[in-house]
Amino acid sequence: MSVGTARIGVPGLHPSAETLEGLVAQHGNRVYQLAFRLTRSTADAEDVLQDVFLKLYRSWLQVSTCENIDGWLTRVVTNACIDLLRSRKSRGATAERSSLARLSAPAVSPGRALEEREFDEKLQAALEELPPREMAALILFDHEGLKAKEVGRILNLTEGAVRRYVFEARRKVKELLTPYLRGDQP
Amino acid sequence: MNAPLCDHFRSRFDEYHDGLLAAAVAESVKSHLTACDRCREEYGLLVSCIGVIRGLDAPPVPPRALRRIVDTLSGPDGGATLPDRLDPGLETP
Repeated sequence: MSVGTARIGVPGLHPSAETLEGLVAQHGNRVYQLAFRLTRSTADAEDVLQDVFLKLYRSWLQVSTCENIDGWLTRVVTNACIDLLRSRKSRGATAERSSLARLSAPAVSPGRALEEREFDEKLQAALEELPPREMAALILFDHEGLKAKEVGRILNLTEGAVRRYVFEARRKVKELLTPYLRGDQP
Repeated sequence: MNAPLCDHFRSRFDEYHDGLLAAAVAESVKSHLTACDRCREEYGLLVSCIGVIRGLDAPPVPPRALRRIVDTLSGPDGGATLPDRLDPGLETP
C-alpha cells in the first residue's frame, strides 16, 4: 500500500452516500487486506474494516480535508490491528488457523501440499510470536513497501527505531523458518 | 571461515540488503559473501525470509462486507445504530 496523495475536498459533517460508496469501493479491499495481513484472521479483518469506515464517517470533517487519505487509512488500520493483537495476546487467543496464505503456485502433490501447510503454520506461529508493533513494522516495511520514515509516522517511531524493529522481526522469523527455508525440516 | 569476521559482516546483512551501507562498506560485505560459503548461505536465508514476507497473500474483501458498510452508514439514521466498536486505542491520527 503506497502512501499516496488523494485529497477528498468535500467538507461536511458526514460524507454523502455517493462519496462514501466511492471511498469504500476505492479503499475497502486495501483496508481489508492490510488488516488481514496484520491480524491473519478474516473475521478480525472484517471487524477492522467496519471500524475504520465508521471512524472515517464520524471523523469526516477532519478526513475530508486530509491531504493523504491512504496515509490516514493505513495509520488507522494499523493502530486498530495493533490494539486488536494486544487484546488477543492478553487473552491468550490466537488467529484462526489456516488463515494465512502465501503467494505461491498450487501444490502439485499431497506431499508438497503437506510441506506447504507445515510451512504456513510455522510462518503463522512466527508472526504471532512477534510483539504487535514489531510485526506491524515488518509488514508495513517489507510487504507494503513503505519507507522507514512513513512507517515511523504510522507507529510513532523514529526511522532508526523502525529499522531496529524490522531487523529484529526478520531475525526472529528467519530463526523459526530456517529449517524450512533450507529444506531440511523435520 | 573466520567467526569474528563473519559475525561482523552478518550484523550488517539487513542494512546491506536494504541498501543502507556506504559504498565501500557494501563492497566489503559483497566481497565477503563471495568468499564465505556459510555467510552466503546465511544471507540467502535472510533474502528468502524477506521474500516470504513480501509474498504474504490475503483474500479479497467479501463484497457483502463492503455493501453492509455502505448500506448502514448511508441509511436514514446515518450509522447511528451501529454499535460503537472503536477501541479506545483507535484514535484519529
